[in-house]
Amino acid sequence: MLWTIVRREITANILSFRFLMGLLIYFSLIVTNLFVLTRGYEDRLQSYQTALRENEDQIGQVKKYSEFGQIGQTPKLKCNRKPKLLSIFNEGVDKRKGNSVAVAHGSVPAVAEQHGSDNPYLNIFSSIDFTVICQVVMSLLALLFSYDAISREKEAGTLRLALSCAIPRPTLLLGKYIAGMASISLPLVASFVGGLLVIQFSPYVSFSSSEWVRILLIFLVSMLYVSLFFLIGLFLSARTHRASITLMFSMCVWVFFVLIVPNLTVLWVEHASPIRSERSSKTQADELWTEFRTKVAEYLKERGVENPWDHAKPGGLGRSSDRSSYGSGEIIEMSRFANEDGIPFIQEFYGFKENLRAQYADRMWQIRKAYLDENPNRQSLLALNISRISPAAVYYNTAAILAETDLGSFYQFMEQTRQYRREWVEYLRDEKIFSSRRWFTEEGVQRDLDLSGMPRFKEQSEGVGGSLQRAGPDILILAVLNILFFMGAFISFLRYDVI
Amino acid sequence: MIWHIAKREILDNLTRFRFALTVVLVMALMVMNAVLFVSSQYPRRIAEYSQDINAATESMKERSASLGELGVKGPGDLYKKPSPLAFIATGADAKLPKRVTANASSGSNWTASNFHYSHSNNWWLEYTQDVFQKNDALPNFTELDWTFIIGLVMSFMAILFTYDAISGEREVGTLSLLMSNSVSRATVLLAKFIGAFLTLMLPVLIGILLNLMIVNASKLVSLDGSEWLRFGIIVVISALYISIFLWLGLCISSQFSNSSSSLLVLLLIWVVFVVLIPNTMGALASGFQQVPSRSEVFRLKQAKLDEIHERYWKDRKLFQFGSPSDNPPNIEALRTWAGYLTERADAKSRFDDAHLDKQFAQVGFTQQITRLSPAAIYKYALESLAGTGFARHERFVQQARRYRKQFVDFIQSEDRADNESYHVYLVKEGLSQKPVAFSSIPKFSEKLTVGSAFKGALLDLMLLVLLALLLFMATVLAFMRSDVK
Repeated sequence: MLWTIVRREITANILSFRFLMGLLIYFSLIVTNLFVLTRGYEDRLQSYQTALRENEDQIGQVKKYSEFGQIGQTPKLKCNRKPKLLSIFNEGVDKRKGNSVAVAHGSVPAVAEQHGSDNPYLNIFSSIDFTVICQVVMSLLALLFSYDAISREKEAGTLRLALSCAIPRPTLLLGKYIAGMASISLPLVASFVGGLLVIQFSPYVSFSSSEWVRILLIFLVSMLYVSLFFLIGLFLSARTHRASITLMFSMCVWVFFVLIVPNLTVLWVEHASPIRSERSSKTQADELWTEFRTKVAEYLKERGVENPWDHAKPGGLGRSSDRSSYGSGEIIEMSRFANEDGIPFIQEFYGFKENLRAQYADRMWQIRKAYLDENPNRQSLLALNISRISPAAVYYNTAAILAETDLGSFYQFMEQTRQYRREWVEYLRDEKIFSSRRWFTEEGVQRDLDLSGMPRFKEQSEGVGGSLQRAGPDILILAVLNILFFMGAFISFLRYDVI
Repeated sequence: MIWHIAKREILDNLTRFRFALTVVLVMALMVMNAVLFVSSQYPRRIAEYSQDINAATESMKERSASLGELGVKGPGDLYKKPSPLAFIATGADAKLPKRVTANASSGSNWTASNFHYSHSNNWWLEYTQDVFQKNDALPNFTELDWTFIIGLVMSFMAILFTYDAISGEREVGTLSLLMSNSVSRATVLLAKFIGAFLTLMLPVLIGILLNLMIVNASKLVSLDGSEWLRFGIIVVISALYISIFLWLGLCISSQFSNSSSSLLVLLLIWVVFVVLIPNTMGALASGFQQVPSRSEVFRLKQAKLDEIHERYWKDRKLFQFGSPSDNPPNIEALRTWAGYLTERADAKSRFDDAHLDKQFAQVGFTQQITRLSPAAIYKYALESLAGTGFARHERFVQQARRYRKQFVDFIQSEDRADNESYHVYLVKEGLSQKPVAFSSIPKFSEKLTVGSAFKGALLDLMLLVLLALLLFMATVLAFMRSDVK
């Protein structure tokens, strides 16, 4: 019996005008959009590769180790984050949070820059990805498919007719749900397949097996989301007796949860829980730097010298120091020493100073970390949690986690860059590079800089299991809401007055 | 007769659920917008702006100790003033730079035998990407301003008000009943439009009044005559915008005999034109009109600077007449160094200006394409009138460039007045060393008149009028030809 109802409903749905329109519009939207997004991905991939190449060039040009300490305009060591292939499906914070991090022993990475954004002014145009289209359009379509499922049949009188046969109400409801979902998943599946084809045409794209799993998961979550709105429509339909009223309620729910709540939470959080100014943290950091300089001066005073190079008497001396709020660096270049005997002391001095600098940078990071955790990071988390009132935001966040474009994966990347800096500092210490002659001069050293043992940054991508674990709570929310609304629709329909 | 039908429509609309929904929604959003604006957004912006301005003034005062120093180091940072009407159209101000820098940056030390000179580079106009302090890790969102409330929510409501205006009556059969009277179809159509328009404008106007009351009561924003005039224009444009969607709704409604079909078509049109086009065209347009990549511009600029450096370095030209900081300096040394430093600053300036112009052209092109969407047109019109958004930023940069000229003229004319100066522009030692009266230095200020704001919005306004007229004609024609049954 169930299948008779399902068949009848599917036929009715597929022959309806709304199905045709929905399929056409949704399909063309997704396909054109994915085409555009794939182009954007190609651009980002290209600029990532340029950035990698430029970084290698930079490293190749290094003559003295102290150049690696530069932190300002042209740092020598950079960690670049590869654009995520699945950012085609969900852009997340991929574009906003930057993808290039400078690493030096005198500064712990905390923020990322954007490599190769050729026109930052284009950021004023908001962009839309696969998930947003699904979030906005599919939820609307789902409501439009289900709002009149019960109330319209009542109006037309066919509900009474159907129930006068030996059909239990649960079967009828279940049949409507299965048929509705089957017909609504057609545009979704078609657009997924069409979109994947468009992406596959690009020469730069090839999905790995784990990415296929992720795409499948994103598809399943999309289905869960669509099903939720279908059930909301069904529930409202079972609570009202006229299709036009159901429609108004459905639109009201849609406008509120899809358009308004996700936007308002951010504004509200910004207003109600603002971030404190960074000034006091910066002052603390300044004090630490003063302490650092005092220690260096004390070191020299104990040894009774004013400048470490006084004894060696270099004929040429170039120094340039960099200073940012939480980091510092110094490039030093000496040449034409009048007295070679003085050089060991310079080596000893820089061995002490740069080691100390790395230690102070670590202490500085603790200050900055405390600020970041208490302010911007806390605020973002709060906004994320509050936005979970809206299933649309839950859905978007889940898809972002699965596509590795959410804030959490960005934090993981930043943690990896800090790990890389630790490795780098260890390498500098182990190889006694701080106290090497090559730190400050090219003279008297024949060979090229040997960087074969140097640690290289390698971005580690989170496994599918890890992503699923993080996305777990959000998927659970969607599932629970699905069950709740199904039960709601079920109970309402059991008590529904069919006449 | 027309008023008779219109009155019936209004009464019918007023008792509907959707009317209550609109009233609640618009009032809540408008109040929220005003409260957020006056309680946190605007005060925070203004505080940051005045902090920035104070710091800039202080640094300018420091520099004015000597004309030479001021001339080399430049006027300092130039800031864009937050618009008091930003609650109408935020205009992505959070994503646009808040300033341009007109500062001397790093310098160099030159040491050779018998020669020592340390200097800072000459200033040039640099276009940084500093924005107002904001947490960029927050989820993506659209601003809650009038362009959202009216542009998005009210256009949606306009469709909900009209989708069944004709198809609904056709469904229940009252349309043929109505037409059997001696009324023309145009009259019916016009009456339906007037009915829907008035019922929709009522909550909008109430919302706007509430909004303005809160903003005005806060005393933060004192709105003067010209701003009220701008308000008036904005309200007219909003009415025009809403009427476009009403005509669209009537047009589609007249083509269907089933109100759910007309709703579906309308919703899809709405999603495409209001939600999708403004959001996808940005990515699409950047593919059509390319700008040179950042690294390429950087490389070209560096090559030019190196070329200048080589030229002056050749035959140790820079050092042969001594250092400009010698006392008294050799006039040739001053000229050589002035040439070297000025050429470098000019080259940087030229490259940066050209690059920025290309970037701006790309944004302008993208805006043209997004004008396919009436929501985008409406947004741009409001931004022009509120003094926010990209148009404002472009004007800000233009005025900064004009100010650059004014500042240079000021330095040169002050220098001419001093007889002890060597009159060599631009090296610090070549100009007058006397202090400059701080009050006499021209200060950067932006001028925004109603006239120029209106001129900026004129194109968009005309587009909206054209669209409204076209849709009106299409509706009349479509309804004339349609079957009443």
